[in-house]
Amino acid sequence: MNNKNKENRKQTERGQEITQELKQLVVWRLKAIPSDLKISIGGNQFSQKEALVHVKNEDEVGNEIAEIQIQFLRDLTSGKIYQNE
Amino acid sequence: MEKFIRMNKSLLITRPNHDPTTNYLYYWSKIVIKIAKEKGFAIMDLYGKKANKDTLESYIRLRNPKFLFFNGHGSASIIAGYDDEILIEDSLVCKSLLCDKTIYSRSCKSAAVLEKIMVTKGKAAAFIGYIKNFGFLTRNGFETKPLEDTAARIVLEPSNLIPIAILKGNTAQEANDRSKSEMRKILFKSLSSEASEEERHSAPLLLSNISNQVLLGNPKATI
Amino acid sequence: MDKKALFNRIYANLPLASREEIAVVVDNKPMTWNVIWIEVENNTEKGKKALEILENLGLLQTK
Repeated sequence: MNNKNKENRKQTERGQEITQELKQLVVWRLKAIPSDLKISIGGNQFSQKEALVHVKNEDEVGNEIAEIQIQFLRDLTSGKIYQNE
Repeated sequence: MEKFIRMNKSLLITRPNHDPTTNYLYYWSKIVIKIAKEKGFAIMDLYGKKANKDTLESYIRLRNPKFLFFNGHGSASIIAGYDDEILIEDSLVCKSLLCDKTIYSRSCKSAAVLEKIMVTKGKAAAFIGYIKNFGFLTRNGFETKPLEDTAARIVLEPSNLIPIAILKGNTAQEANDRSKSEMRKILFKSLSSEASEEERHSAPLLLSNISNQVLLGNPKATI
Repeated sequence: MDKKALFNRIYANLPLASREEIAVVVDNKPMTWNVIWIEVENNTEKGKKALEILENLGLLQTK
């Protein structure tokens, strides 16, 4: 892993490291969500704009949203998503 | 004997509705209540402010429901009710109120720690819950009519299959599997070229819920 | 397996709708899987950067 990747890393509750690359990706993926959809997670509801703020702030909610996104992408690319369990 | 059997064919459900998320669960749980009624179950519906600790304990002690269905917020060590009052935590588990009960907790993270306590210390028959946060999408404009929200349906309809399957006499394992199977079906549909916008954007949350939904205790438990 | 070959294998296994979703951000510009494929196919610098970021994100892997 290169040095650029080691910058600004945070460990989340799920054990996922939030790099700048991941954060940028999640921000853009969230921007693609229609603005009239809200995310209900961890007992709260967030609009697309609110979710973006959380991700940019790298707080608990933002990191969780980022983790859910990256885990989805990893399962997709590894093919795990097609497995039954 | 008949009265005893009828009393045991009972569902206790908590349905707080103090914020947008719990309000959605409040409405979507009505579907489960309707089916329970059709099946002749006695319903202990702790809705709104009734979803508090005193009422919960009282109903469990006096009426001994076999199936407990919790909606609301939670964490690794608690399940909450109205206004996030703690309903279930370690101390309640120790009062043996959960002995032999089948439990589904549609609340965040309660399967991480509490589930294990409920089954080992509390002697619950089976517990289905989530080890991480439970998530779903909602659409603006449906706050007063959550049942018409097709975005929310994507996650909440398959999660309803757990209590519905249990009410229909299925084992805890069957209920867990049925719900996951339906979620997977919807997930695959959401990945298809004809998926709706809300299906596509729900996919990561669906996958997360599938991965985090767990069953502990006796997989053959029925009510 | 080299990154390009690995990418092609992954890309081929992606659902059609997912290929239109954003997969990386290179130089502050988002790229979908389809866009990455074009860049990688043409051996561009953007393509190489995209592959590197995919690898860093743990997305250039198979089970």
